[in-house]
Amino acid sequence: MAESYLRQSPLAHRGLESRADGDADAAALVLTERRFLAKVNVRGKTDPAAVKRATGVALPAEPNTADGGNNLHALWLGPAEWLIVGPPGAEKAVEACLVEALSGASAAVVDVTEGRSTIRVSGPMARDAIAMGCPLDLHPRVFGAGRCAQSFIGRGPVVLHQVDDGGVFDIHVERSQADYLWAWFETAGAPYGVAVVLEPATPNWRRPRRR
Amino acid sequence: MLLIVCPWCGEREHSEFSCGGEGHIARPDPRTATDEEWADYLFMRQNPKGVHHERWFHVHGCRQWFHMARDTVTHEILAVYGIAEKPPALDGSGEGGR
Ligand SMILES: [Zn+2]
Repeated sequence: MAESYLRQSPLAHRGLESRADGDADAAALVLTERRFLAKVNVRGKTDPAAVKRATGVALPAEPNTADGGNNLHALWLGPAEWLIVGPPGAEKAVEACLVEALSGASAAVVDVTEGRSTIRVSGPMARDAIAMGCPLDLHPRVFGAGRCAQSFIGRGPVVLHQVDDGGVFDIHVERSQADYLWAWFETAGAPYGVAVVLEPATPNWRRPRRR
Repeated sequence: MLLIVCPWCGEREHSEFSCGGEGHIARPDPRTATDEEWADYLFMRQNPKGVHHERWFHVHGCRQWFHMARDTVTHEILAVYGIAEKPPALDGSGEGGR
């Protein structure tokens, strides 16, 4: 059992709190650190109905799509692999629900919360800014709300997820590359105007009620 | 730059993939193979001018392996097919034998 420790953001040294007083409505690019989101990786032969019952979110079967439910998102990563993303602190509860739901199945459930950081990119320039460094076809016809994909931005591998129709993107990046990616977006957006916005506190995650 | 159709992700840029070299190499039985056969298996590869069947890995995407038939002269991708599949007939349709 790992000893408890003070969890620290890989962007802590950037002092984002002190920068979060800009005019976000006037900025072309809005950057938000989604700090300490829960992340659980699921691999193997899964029973979609059991996962849905246990967590409230379905594991999408269609490649490169994401499903949302009960304050969680499930992102398709491969033909038998998903990333479940939830609010901070939910990782142990989500992991426990999944382990229970998939017990006996040939599957793996791994808490990868510490491994990845998340940067939310929004604002009118968001799509164009991402496209500056990403080889994906990001035209809204191809990559719209509910799409996700693994690719890279600049030199860093990422999981890109368009959260809603408003052009809000969550970018999950290896923790050690979070600072690089943040700097990359600051540079990409600099000529157009970048604002930093803090994320409001989210409610604790609850497992779905049993029927 | 090639545009490669990953069997899972669809059309993606070359830079997301890595090439795993020649496909369909049969591993000889190490108990009965001669040194020459084993060396051939380990080291010797074809280098055709024309159609080459090779393995590719979507390393920056879904991290799945698959096969591709590619013309080494024109870079034309003639077929993309599963990692466990045999080479499809190349009728020019561009679709692998799934
Ligand atoms: Zn792929």
